[in-house]
Amino acid sequence: MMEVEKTYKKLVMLVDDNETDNFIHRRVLEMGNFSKQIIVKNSGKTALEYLEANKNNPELIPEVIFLDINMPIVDGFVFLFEFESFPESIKNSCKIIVLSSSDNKKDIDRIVDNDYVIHFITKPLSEDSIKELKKMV
Amino acid sequence: MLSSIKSFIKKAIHIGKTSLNSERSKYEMLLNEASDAIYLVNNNGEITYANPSACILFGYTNEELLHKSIHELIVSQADLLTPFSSNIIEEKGVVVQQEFVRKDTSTFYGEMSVRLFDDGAHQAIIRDITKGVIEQRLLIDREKKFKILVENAFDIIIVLSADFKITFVSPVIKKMLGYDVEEVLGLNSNTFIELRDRVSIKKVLKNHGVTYAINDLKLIHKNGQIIHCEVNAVNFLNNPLINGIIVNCHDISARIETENELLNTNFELDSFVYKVSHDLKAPLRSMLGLINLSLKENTDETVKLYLDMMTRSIRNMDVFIRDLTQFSRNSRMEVVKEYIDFKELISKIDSSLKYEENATSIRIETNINQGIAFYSDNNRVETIISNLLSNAYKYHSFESNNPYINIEIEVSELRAIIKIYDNGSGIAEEFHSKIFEMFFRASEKSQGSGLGLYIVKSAVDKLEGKIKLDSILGKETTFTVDLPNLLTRSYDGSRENV
Repeated sequence: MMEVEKTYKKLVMLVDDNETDNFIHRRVLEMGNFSKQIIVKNSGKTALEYLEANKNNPELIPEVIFLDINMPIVDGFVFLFEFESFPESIKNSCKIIVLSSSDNKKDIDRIVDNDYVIHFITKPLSEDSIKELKKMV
Repeated sequence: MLSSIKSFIKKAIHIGKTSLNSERSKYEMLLNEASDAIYLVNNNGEITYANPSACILFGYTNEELLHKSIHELIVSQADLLTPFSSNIIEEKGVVVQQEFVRKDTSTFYGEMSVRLFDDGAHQAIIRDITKGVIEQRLLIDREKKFKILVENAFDIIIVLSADFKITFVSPVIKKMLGYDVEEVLGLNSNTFIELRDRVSIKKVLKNHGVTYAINDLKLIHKNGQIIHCEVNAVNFLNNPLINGIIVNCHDISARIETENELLNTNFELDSFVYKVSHDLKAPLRSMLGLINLSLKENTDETVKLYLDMMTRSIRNMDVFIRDLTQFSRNSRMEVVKEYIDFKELISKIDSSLKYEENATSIRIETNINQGIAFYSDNNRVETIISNLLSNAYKYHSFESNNPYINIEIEVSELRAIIKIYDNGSGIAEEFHSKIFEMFFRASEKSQGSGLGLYIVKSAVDKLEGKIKLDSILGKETTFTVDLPNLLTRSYDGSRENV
């Protein structure tokens, strides 16, 4: 019996200041049928603003957030710090996957220590890593 | 009966005479064999008897010594007998130290036990103590030397009692910790030890005679400053001579400071390498992603789009590498004094910035007033202006209906004032103090490395100039750079007479 590949998640969010990477990641997610809808935020600040504005609309809260570390002003670490103060309902429904150019062990250790980060992926996001993720979340 | 008495008396006298003779000979034998020199002097100061040891000690024959004036044997003749006279009545002997002279004029120290008789005669027993006296002098010299050493050492030497009270401290404490010696004697050594380090010195009590070293004990100067010391403490409480803990404190503040600077520099270098490698990797990772995608797409159109994006990534990387080169060139190269024509320089920079996105939609006004020759480092001035101008382009708000940049340069004999104004997005006030920091990016829109303004500031510093930022978020930004005119300066940077 053939299993039909279906869209996995309803809504995911990309947070990255690099437009090219946002483009690539959106495309890879689309091709891998990872989610029905993708929101792109090009700064940590606008991503936090989005979550704040929609904290009472569960259907607009992304199930997975792909988070870059190196961004101006609100970087990945600041984002995670601010994320702590969101209501439990949001924190429990959002899984955070860090997506970074860094393969520095110190960075990875530091970020994986965070309770809401479930995975660390070194850029670029590939179809293989999408398959992995589907098993995880 | 009488005859028997007579004979008894006779006998008794005989016995008496014999015993007297035998006592006398015993006494003489004692004198002759005594190792100490013994002589008798009559009330005229003439020697009337000298034993063989006296002859040997003074180097005379017995005949020569007899009737010799005692004053000939004594170095300092002043009132030798005065100190004894008070003891005549009490019939006591007196012991003194005295320097004597031999027949060959050499001298020696003797410990002299003198007894005066009622008739003014006296008897003396002399023991040669020259060796002892010299040793004692050496000891005193050694003690003096030791004292000078301790007092002039750069390290503080402290002796503590069992309850850590200071019983001795070398005067250098004034120099190192600001206290006078008298001020601290009797105080607990904890007075000078930083709170958190206080426990460490107590460990010295555990082992006797073993040196206990503390690498960095923080002592407190009278003025509150922390002095880092390398401390060696030895417990000599068991030693009856010292009966204390000897503590040597060596000031290592300068070394600690250098070590900290080194640590900081290393840390900065680490962060720098980390940031740079990340920023070099980022565009490569993007290109890798685009290549992966290209392999899966099947229309030329889309592939072409990816190629365009790759080009952008390569440009980003190129700009970053250029920044790095500028950065290293600025920190490494000597300042060169060259003639600068601002009009020429601005047009050169501007044409290189034409390719910035949306550059054509921004109007540029230049207002250059250069009536006098300006000399500075051409490369650095170009770096400063091109970075500021490039930022003015990048962070312009294209939504504004009249986007423009104004460049104003005013050259005088002493300086050039360069003002770059734009009515773009502005910089939030909270970032004004951070904007020149390495890798700091003040804008969400920033795609750069965060090196640009850091390089600008370093170049301005190298040229001994000043840079000032005035900006209102969402409205405008002005950078004002004040560069000295090297026209009137010699190459070493000092001003010549104008």
